[in-house]
Amino acid sequence: MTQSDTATVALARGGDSEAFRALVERHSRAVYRLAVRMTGSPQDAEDVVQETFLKAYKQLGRFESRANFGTWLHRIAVNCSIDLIRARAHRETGHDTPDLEELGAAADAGTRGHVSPERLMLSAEVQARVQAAMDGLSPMERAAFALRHFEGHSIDEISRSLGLKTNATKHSIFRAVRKMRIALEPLV
Amino acid sequence: MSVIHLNDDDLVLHYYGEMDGETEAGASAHLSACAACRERYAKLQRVLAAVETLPEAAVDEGFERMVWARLEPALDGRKNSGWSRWPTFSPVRLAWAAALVAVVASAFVAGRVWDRPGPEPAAAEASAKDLRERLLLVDLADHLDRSQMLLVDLASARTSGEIGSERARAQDLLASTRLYRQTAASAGDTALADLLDEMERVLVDVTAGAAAADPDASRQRVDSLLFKVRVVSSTLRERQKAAFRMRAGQSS
Repeated sequence: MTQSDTATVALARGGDSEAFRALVERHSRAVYRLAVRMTGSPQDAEDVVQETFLKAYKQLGRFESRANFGTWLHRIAVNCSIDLIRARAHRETGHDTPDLEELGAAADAGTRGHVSPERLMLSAEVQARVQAAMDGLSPMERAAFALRHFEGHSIDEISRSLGLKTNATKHSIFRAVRKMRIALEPLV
Repeated sequence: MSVIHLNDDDLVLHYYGEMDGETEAGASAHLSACAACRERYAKLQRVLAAVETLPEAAVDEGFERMVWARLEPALDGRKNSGWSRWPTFSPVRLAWAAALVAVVASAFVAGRVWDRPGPEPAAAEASAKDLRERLLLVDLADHLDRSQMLLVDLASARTSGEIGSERARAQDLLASTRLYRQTAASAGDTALADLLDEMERVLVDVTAGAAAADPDASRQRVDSLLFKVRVVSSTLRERQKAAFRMRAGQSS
């Protein structure tokens, strides 16, 4: 029978590396998928997974045993993703993300022609456009939108995770949705 | 009396169920009564449904094993040692490695320092910065030499099936390979980053014992990587020698 997270965490806190390994095996996929959503890069996501578990290991003593380990880990992963996104944005200051007009122009170009929206809906074209639109989001827009849309977090929760005021979080999500609309509305 | 329609932001909040009770009831009632807003809301629903078509990231089989193989060497003493044992995001080591990659990026990949004759940079050549950069370059070359020796031993050990000591050496090399790979990527040196990424994956497999599952494929990977590392390593050594000759010529 699989041990519960609570029991496994207790063993890991006592220095049992096999217990920590079990936690890694249980949660690393979820952390990776979250990180890909938030960073948009598999390689960055692998780095986030590493950093998340290292931080978790270091901070196990601070983990409240009554809390949910997965939720706690998720929060660390979100923070690691945000750190990495910020670092990457800083590195890539010369690389501008497409603005709304560019996204719209790309979408318009995609609709010129003869392919029906229904067919496009089923095609990789839509996925490519979604990906392009996601790549066009600022780090905060991407993080807030990914947490709201894909992870189902409430705006209040996202505000706490990102350290933003509620209105700032809302506006990040609004801008992200606006970019999605401009990129995708002509196709759907 | 004029009708107040729902704006785009209202529709987003309604979609995600983020309106408070009273506002939500008002929005629902308005959508029931207003065809224009209903049409705009339907468009929003279609857009956000299209976003859902983005597939979940694929996760390789054995992903958990790979994560653990990378983590385990970094965990010893990590609880109380802060950044000191793990290279990821470590400010001090990152700065050091960034300097190294900057050297590699500018001197090795572009090849402009030692490959091309140019104006006499006597002052710069003599500077402490230059000396430090040369030492850092030597360090990378040494790392590649150690990696190369491991690959040679792996290639021969695989025939006898004994890789116990190679596994320990692979574990030792893993963290530094990862550091070089990350910083090479940060510096935009994709050729070096790709090589180190390939090296890192081989080391992870060796550490985790995954190479035994498909020895033929593993041998091919090692042979291919060995060739690439030899080329890069040899090029680095040649450039170090050329730099030495240039310095000797300038000082005579």
